Amino acid sequence: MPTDEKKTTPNTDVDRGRFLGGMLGLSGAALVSGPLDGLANDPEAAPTELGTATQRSPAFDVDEDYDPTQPVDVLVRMQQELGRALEKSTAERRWVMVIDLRKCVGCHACTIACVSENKLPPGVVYRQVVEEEVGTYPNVRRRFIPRPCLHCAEPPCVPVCPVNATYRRADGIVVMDYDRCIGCRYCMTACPYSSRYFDFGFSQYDETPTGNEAVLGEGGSVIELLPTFEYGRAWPRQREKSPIGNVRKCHFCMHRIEVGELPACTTNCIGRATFFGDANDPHSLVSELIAKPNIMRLREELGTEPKVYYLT
Amino acid sequence: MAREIITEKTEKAQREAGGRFSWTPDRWLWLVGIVALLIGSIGLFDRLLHGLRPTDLGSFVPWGLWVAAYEYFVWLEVGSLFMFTLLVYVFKWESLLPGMARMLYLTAIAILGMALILIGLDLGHPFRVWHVVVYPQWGSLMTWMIWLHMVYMAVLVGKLYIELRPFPGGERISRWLSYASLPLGIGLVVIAGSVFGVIIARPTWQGSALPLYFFLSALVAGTGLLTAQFIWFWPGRRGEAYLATARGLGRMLLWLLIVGFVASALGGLVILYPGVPAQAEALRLTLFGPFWWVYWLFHIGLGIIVPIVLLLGRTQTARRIGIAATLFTVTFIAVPLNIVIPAQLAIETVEPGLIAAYRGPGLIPYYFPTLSEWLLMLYALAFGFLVFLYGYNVLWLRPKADEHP
Repeated sequence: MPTDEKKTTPNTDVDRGRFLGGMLGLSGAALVSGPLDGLANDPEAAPTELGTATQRSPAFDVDEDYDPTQPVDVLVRMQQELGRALEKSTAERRWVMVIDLRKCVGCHACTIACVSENKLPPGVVYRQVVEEEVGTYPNVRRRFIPRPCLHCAEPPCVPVCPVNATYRRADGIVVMDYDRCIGCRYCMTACPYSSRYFDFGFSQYDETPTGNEAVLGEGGSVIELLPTFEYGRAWPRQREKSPIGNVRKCHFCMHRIEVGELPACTTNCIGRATFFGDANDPHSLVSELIAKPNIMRLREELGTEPKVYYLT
Repeated sequence: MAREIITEKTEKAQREAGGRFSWTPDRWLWLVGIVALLIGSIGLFDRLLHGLRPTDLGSFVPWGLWVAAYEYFVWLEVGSLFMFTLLVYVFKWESLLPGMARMLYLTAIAILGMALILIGLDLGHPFRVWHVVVYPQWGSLMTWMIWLHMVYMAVLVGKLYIELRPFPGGERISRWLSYASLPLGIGLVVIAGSVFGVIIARPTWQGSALPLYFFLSALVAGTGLLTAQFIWFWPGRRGEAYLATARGLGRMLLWLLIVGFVASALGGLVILYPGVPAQAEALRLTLFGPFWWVYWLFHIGLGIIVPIVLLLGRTQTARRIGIAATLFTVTFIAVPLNIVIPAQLAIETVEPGLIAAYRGPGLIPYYFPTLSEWLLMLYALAFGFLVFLYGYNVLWLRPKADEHP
């Protein structure tokens, strides 16, 4: 068990050791290593239900030596808090994302990480970065606003679905049931943040030349046919089969969270501007951040109670 | 009974033609319908083979021509029967109108077919439409719209069945079905409007005005269809009673048209006056956007001004009223198009910067139906036209002068 490994780890240099260990684990996560290796190569090996404790990456289990009073990299801290949250039942967690707009440099790494993690086709994006120019020369600056699904506590997209294909889980994540969705796109018109996208079935390799693989190399389209592992299941990209023809949206990388990994956008944020965690944990980083006076949410006036907060 | 009549008619036609095949007007119409269906089939196959990719729909404009056409067909289907039932059964206008019953049911069924083809194929997964029956979410107005449409379809089929196969007591059932169709019809169009009205994300949709406009639109469009059908299809098309009924329908259409126009103009002015961009932008796009001509030429010009001028003229011939009603009814499709599409195009005022944030197919605030979309529309129209022709020529569902309610 991973816990045993942790216990035998020498604890001479707590901060440095924890930091390096965490970073190694995070790098692995970013490369979809560890428990997801099998998934990436073998769709059959994909779990039918979302992860259990035994499927979690050993690097991300609760570090019993963790001391919240010691300064550590926020990713390591969030990783530890994630492990702690996963020990609770789903209903006891309340996932929240905080984005520090002062730290966001507009590198779009989160967008790319998300596209890569979820193998998003053209026209589908779960986390784009909106750019705004504020002021006039010489007092001018650019502002970057990363925009995932806001996972509203009162989501306008959920009650409009005629077949209950989209719903809010007990832990606050608004999800899609691809098998049930009929593709009416009513939820897309209802989302005040335009955070839902329709998978028309486009491919990066549409209208590009094809030829003999011996000459041109392995067919590029093969990459696009690899399954996505959203919602803990393998979804091979086959003609007019789900998720093609479905509405798609950010799910806070639920398949990663359930195996003890932070969402891809959080892990890959080079400015450490994205924070993720359990708001029901009073000692979590996100709990601290959302209590700050400079916190805001998008279009508060609608009363949708988004669970993505912004530090300004 | 109907078949015997058909056989007689066919034999008579053959005798008249000396046993030789000849191109009668009916046969030409069949040919036109079949050719249109075949051409439209290209759109159908394109849709079935390539999903929604051949359309110009996207994630910022997820609803387009087919959804707008569905609303238009619902207005026509419900509105014409609603007005007919109201006039004949409630207001007891028993002159010639009752004779229109069977043809109106036939028309409604044909239009229903068109509506279902378009809305069914607008789904990302059309073959999962049964999910609405098995997993309904009653909190969703779309669920109610679909279920009410199914019930309405059952009422229509029931009434048409009684027309085709009369049985003792059938008339009474038919009358009760007519009464039931009134609240059902109101419910269907109001809920279809509420499907848009509850959307806070689109400022011009949101509110209680749209359900009421939908109801008003169904009344006006239905009256237009009823008037046009009566004038063009009434047997003989002459006589005092015929002209009196045509003029009565024409006057009613004129008043409804004026009331509808004033109501929508007031609604528009209320939105434009404060000039709040999120609300006014969609309306500005309708009036002065790239497709201004849909509103000004088709809706206001051909759909409102010309019919009003024709209906206000001193000499009210049936032909003149018929032209006004037809023009109005056909161009009225501009209304749902202008309700459905511009509100989605105005995304930049609601979500500034979103368009430039990421590039990809369907991530632009622009929409104009592709050839494939028009072809599927043609397929649906041809399908409805052929159903109508079959009912009119084969099942002999024509207006009858001696009909009583």
